[in-house]
Amino acid sequence: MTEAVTAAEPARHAASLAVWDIPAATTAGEHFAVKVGAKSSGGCGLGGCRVDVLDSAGAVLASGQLGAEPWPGTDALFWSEIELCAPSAPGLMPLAVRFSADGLVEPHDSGASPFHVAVVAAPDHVLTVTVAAAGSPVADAIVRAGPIRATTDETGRARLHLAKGRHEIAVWKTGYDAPITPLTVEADATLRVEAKVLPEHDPDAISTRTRSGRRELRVVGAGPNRSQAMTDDALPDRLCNNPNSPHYNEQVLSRDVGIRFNGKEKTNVEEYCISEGWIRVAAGKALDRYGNPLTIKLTGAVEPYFRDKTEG
Amino acid sequence: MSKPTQTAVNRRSFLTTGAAGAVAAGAGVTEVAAQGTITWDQTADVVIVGAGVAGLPAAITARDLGASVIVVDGNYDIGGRGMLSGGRVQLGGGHALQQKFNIKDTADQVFMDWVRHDDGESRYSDRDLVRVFADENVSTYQFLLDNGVEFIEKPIGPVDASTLPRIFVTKEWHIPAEVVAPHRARNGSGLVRRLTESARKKGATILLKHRMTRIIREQPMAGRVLGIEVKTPDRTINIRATKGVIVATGGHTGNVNFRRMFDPRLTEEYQQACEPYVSQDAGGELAAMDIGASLWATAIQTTETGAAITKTRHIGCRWGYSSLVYETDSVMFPQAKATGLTVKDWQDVIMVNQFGKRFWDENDDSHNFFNAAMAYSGDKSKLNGGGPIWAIFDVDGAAREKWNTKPPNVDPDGWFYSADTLSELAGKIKSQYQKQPMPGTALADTVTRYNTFVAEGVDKDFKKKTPMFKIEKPPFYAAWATPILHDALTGLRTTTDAQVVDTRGQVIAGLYCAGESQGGFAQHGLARCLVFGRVAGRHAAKNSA
Repeated sequence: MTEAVTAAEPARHAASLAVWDIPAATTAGEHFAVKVGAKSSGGCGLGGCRVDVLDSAGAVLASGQLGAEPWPGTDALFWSEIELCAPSAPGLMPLAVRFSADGLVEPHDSGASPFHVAVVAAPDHVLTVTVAAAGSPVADAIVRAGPIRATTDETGRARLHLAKGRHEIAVWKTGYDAPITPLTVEADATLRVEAKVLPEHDPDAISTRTRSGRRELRVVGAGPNRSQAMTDDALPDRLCNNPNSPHYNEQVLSRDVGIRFNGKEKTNVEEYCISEGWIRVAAGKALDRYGNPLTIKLTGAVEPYFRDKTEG
Repeated sequence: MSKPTQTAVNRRSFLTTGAAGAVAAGAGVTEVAAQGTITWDQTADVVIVGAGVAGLPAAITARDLGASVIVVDGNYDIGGRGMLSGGRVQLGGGHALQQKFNIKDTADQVFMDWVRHDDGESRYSDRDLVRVFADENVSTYQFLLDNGVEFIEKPIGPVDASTLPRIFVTKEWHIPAEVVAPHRARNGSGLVRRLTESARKKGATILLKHRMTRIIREQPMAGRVLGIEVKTPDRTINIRATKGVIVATGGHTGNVNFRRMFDPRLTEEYQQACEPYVSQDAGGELAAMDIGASLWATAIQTTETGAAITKTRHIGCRWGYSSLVYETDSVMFPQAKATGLTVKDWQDVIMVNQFGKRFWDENDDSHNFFNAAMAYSGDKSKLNGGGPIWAIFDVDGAAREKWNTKPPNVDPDGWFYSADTLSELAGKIKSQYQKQPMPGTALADTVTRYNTFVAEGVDKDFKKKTPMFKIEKPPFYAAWATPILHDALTGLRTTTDAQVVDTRGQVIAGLYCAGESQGGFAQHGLARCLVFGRVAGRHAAKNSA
């Protein structure tokens, strides 16, 4: 984005550059604009100077003339808006800006500052993503598929215009955590993403984690009870001992659940799924940013059982 | 406090001669010890160094048992780090307030929790000390009530190694001007102010701006501890302790040379929580080690658990520790100089080292992050420590966080910079800890690369989860975000009576230690300081030697 060139002689000034308001994603073949600003290390007024936008081969794609007034909030960043056309091939397009000191009284050194523009294929379909947490819609969450973004409305909905093919849908909002959902878009579609509300962090509770003893599937935790109707000794197809998981089941976990995996007893299981044939086990002592154990997925035959039953 | 006041002298202690056969000492009495002639300016049965969370209960307990007490503190006001604490007292064992909430706890459960093998904070504990701690929990809670400490009736927990809710928070001191960091729930102020009130009412003398500089023993490395040397604002005096000296000085984290004994990475750029009000300067540890004292349970320093090091939560100022902020009306504000920009979401910044390079996932706050921050930065003139860490963001990031990037929120004198372009920003950074200029091209390259990660949604370098925001819109900012240190985790070796033990395993008669300066039990917070302060005060008061 910017580049400083150290003046070889003290007399020479340097111009450094910034490029902003680059669209998060631009559709192949369409026009878009970026803002380019230049700042003189000597505090010179750079209004009227030329800036060029170059492609990766160094060819000038467009040029602009810096205005007379600095960008609001800056000391002396003289700027211009430059219109460009996205190439037809999707991908990250490497570009650069270059400052031309022609016409300035004081000579200025300047190199080219790189920046990138994300070019995406023309959309074919609309993916409507609904974000909810604990049964309520989450507004103002950013939903993204790579560079393509939208923000959820008060109903928790955001619409992404996507090309056919595989996308990874991620959701971000401060104070929430949501899984990344891979999907293949072949038609207009809807997706519901369950986010979890991160607990308010008490800054005085400075220990790096709280104690819940979640080392085995055996702790009764406080959390929403999502248990479904089941017979006394039935174990669910999928079970997780994180109270924030939809597969958490307090009723089941209030009893001691043992796991046999490929015939072997496992005591560090965080989550299992019988039908899909996998378990997630704690990866050593590593914790994620929320203090939950990092897990490794192992595939094989999963046999959960109630320990209290086998032990008598 | 220019002239030391003469304190009441216990007559009986006058008649007791020291083990070396020296004459009994009183105020103004000259004593001949093996190390020379000492003139004692003041005398008390028990002399306590530090008017904080360990020293104050020690003073009250010793007074309750009839001993005369002098407490010295180098600071201008009482409380030490307790003054700035959140006031979370983790005492259990089934005390009255736990019972009120039907929390079924016992001393044995406290013991079993705090000797757990599966937790780094409890694994390396000296179990003899934990046993005493556990057995004294209920009586310590009652002691606090008896001495006017008030609690908010709401249980918190379980946290750390505890399996039951044990934390109750003390009520903040009711006079904001006397809360050193007001408006920020510094509830520990209520604990130390109430204990000070009680200690004074019971006749303890508290001498402020009296900094202990030396512990005086009969011989340099042998015999009883006789007293302490103290520097006052205008002179150096000696204070005789006929029964015992209690080191309650609050730990060593602020002493770079001392802390590097445990971890050579902890060089000078890492600031310390609770400065500038108090510094954990290792004064007590050093004075005790000078006369032969041993450290204990130093393994705890390297367990990578607990709160010995944390991310700077309020960036752009020097001391942006966790919940502690000195607001503009704090008596400390003229020294703290800024309140900092409180980070709500680490997506809004990237963090770079002194060479302008990212080093880890900014969202991570595990020890992996701290290890990366302290990794060799490539500085050939400074091989240890990771050097300063700066949070870099743009005007959009500031807007998302709703930051006002002007003083008093930031300190432009070494801790916060802004500029029109990234390379200009790099060139502006000047800090006493930044040994060379940050290369502007490196910072610009780092940001350009990060911005491609944002476009693609994947951090190819450090796996930050779905990197969200480009850093592109001027102006740009650099804010001090170097990790900050807190708990000492280790300190002087003591017996279960809090008597300091020397490097040969022998008790140093007449010397005690409690609180952050005491080794062997690294529980975070106030409880162990309160408990062992009482234990030390009790044993010293009963000491007939």
